[in-house]
Amino acid sequence: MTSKNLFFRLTVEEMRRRLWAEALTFLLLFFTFPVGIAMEISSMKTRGGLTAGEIGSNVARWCSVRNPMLVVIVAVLSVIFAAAGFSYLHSRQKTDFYHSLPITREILFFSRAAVGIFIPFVIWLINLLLALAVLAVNGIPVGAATAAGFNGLAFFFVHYLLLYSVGVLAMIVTGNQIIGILLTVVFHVYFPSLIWILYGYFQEMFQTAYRGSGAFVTELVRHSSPLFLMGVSSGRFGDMNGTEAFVYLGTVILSALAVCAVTLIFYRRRGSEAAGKAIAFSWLKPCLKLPVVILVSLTGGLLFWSILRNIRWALFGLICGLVISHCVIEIIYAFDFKKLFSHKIQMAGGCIGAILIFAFFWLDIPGYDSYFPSREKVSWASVSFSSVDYSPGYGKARRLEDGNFYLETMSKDDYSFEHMRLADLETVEKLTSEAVQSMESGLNYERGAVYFSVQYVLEGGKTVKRSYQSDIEPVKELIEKLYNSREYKEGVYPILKEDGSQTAAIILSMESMTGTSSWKIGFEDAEARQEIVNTFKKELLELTAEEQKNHMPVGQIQFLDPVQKEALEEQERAQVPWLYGDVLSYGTYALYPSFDETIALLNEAGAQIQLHPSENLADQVQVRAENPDTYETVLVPVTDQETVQTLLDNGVLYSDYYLNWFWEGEDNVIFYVINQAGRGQYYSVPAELVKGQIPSA
Amino acid sequence: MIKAENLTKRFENIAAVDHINAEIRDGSVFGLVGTNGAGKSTFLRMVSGILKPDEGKVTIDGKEVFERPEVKERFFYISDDPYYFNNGTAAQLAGFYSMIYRNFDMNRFYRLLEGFGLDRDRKINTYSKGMKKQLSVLCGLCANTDYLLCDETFDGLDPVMRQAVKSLFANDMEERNLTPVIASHNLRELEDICDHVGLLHRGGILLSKDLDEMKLQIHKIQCVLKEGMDFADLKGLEILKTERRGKLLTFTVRGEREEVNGRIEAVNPVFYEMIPLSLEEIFISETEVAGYDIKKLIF
Repeated sequence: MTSKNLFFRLTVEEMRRRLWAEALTFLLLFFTFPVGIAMEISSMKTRGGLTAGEIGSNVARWCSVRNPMLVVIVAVLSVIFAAAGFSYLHSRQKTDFYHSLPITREILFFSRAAVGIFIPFVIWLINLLLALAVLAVNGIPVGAATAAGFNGLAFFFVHYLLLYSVGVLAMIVTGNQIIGILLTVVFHVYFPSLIWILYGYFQEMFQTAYRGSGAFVTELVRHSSPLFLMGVSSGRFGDMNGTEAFVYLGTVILSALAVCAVTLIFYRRRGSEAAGKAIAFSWLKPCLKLPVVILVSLTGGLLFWSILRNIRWALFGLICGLVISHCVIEIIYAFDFKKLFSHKIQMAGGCIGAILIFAFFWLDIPGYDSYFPSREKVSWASVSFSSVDYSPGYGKARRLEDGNFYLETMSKDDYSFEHMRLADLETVEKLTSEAVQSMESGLNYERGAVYFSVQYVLEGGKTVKRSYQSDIEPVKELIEKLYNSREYKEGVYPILKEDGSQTAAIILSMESMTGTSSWKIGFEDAEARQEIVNTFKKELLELTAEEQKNHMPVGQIQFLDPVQKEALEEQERAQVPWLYGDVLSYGTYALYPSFDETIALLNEAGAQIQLHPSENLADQVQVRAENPDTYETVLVPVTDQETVQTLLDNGVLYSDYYLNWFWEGEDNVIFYVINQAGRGQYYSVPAELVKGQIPSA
Repeated sequence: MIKAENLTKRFENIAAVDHINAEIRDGSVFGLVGTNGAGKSTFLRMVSGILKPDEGKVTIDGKEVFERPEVKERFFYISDDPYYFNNGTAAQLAGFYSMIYRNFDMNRFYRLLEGFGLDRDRKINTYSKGMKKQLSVLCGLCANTDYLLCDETFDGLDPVMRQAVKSLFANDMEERNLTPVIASHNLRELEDICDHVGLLHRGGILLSKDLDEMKLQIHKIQCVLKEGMDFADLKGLEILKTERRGKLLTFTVRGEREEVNGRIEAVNPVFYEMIPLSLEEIFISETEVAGYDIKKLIF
């Protein structure tokens, strides 16, 4: 019999041996694809309001890359088929049986591997076709689901190859099925865990460690493990164009082939006598153990440090992690509890490794915290405060081919670092110096602290990022100076970078005497929209910290781009208030009382913004006061007509749920105007206006 | 011919097989006898290409076995603990073997199966231990290979089945020059069937001889010597073991029969006779010399 013939016959025979795995795969995918889609169709039809095409677009995600269940299913199947195909190496009985046969090990390897690849692919395809049939039977167009389904099949199958290869490698280097599965898990989570732990050290031990978005860490993690690569990439694959997708999948296939080649080398060198042992290759034992021991040791150290911030406890955690992990692994290797303290030299080696890494961070050996770029080398700087500005949300929505909406978010830091170019480096330097002094002397959290991150862009394009904390008092004026600058605002408020043509609609929301009111402005009138945007931009640039000290925002104004407008229209059509909530979450700004021109234009367009309380609606005025005995906040009615009139004439809308970091109006009198219906609204006036006139609680 | 040259296999610090040299000639039944842990199974597993030797080599007609399917086609290995497909039947197992061994005779297999009273469609995991062994032997015979490597195959077979299997072996040996290699510590069974015996002990081969030749080289003598004489007076004899009961001396001696006779007659004993030794007695004597005293194990 030729090798090729024997290969095919062995493959068929192997398929007969794995009926249970095939049945399990079929069940998993059957309930995911045809059943899941059928249920979704039924649910959408019951809710109503969607066309057949829209239903088709919505259910397409069930078989697309965006279905997170498929990530789990692929991971599980890769382990099942790897174990089913190669755990025979863990049994002396089976090893003797197969290795005594006149078959080369390569044919044996490839026939088993082929089953693990062929079966899931075929079953996936069958269930995908069943799902499309379900759509067709229900009169739903299959176009979107077909494209999404085959796109998803390509993506997940390629990743399955990689995960499967890793699983097979784990089975081959071990001699026990449980340990094989454990090692598979280690292969998938080790490097991501190591990255996160080291990042944890970076954040905990370096005082000025940049604490912004961990995008670069996410990117590192994504490439550090086949499982994480699949998980993170599944959210991005749908956005890739044809070439990018092709290149990406090609890279993953090459990776899978490389792992397969390594696996085959180990397979050929694996002795049959390794069946039943923990690890098939003796030399591999310390190679697998030491990195795990160091990681667990570091985790213990970080855990205790983060709780108690004490070096002794951190070292205690380090040693505990080291000893426990070493002992557990030794017990696993020897299948004997009494062997837990074997290989003490290796334990010592692990201890030294962990301590060296710990010391690297604790002693700041690279000099991270003390590094400060000289002003001559800095091209520009960007500062991002965590709470100083009213963040409008940063993102860009897109409509996908399947009709769904996708929001690409961006952190505030990332946006500011990209768009803010502060030339006033002296102020930035003073800001960071004060912060360092605050951190070194210990922050006074009772008086308030401010958190901010700074990016320096050096000549040559290199960037340096740091995060700081500071007591507020020493830096308040510096912050105000920065805030008032155009460069700062352009790095915080995206609307300032737009010319108005990107705005397709405006929504204004505010609290009023009649409740929360919302107005759609300029949905059809582009000219009106443009004027409002331009005016708002002008007044936003003119807004100062000083103004914000005494006034709260009176409402929220949202500038919707064309995609957001479409999403809003679909939401209203579907009558599902939370549909596309994420897409509609960005582009909102605070509207201050000083924005008179904008307010006027908004009122012209149909809004009813009333900054001052209306005498006609005021049936009762109550002043917010604090009971000196109980410290309870109470509302005290004001009966003196002169006081009431002063309050009404000078009151400006007050809202304490909008972020206004500069507000210093704690001394202001906050009063509550109620109408007959019992609805009310808060206003505020400077305290000196009504000094002596306010009744006590 | 199967030839082992300097064959060595170590498992960590233990030399399971230690520089073994052996030849298994075609057409004869080779019995591999050994104490527990002698290395019989390890030796057979190297011969069958399961284990790769650490040193030395094992060849069949000059070609090494390991990872060479064309060489491995020439033998069928029956493990001491065979594997059977989960929920598989005898027919399915035979079907699998027929796919691998091109000369597998399915018709003969079904005939033999019926003859042994085994159901082809019954799941193997419902067979008794003895029935499973029978099945393995039948698969091995029907594979029509030149060599049949059996690791403790006769254990678990009832006496009637043992005889039946021995008959089949004899038949195949005659018809197609089958060479069975049988590893066992059941010496009484091997004595009936083996032509050549290899005695393994602690990884090394103590002796490898034709059985008849072995029996000719070792003798058990019972004698009564003249008053005042003892074993020391029996000069020129390689005495392996001695025992005294009153005046009756019993000893095992290595040497040619005639020479032994001559040496004994030279001391003019009162009485002596030569008793044939069983394979078991030969085995015990030889291993005692090597320091493996069965009495020490028992008591």
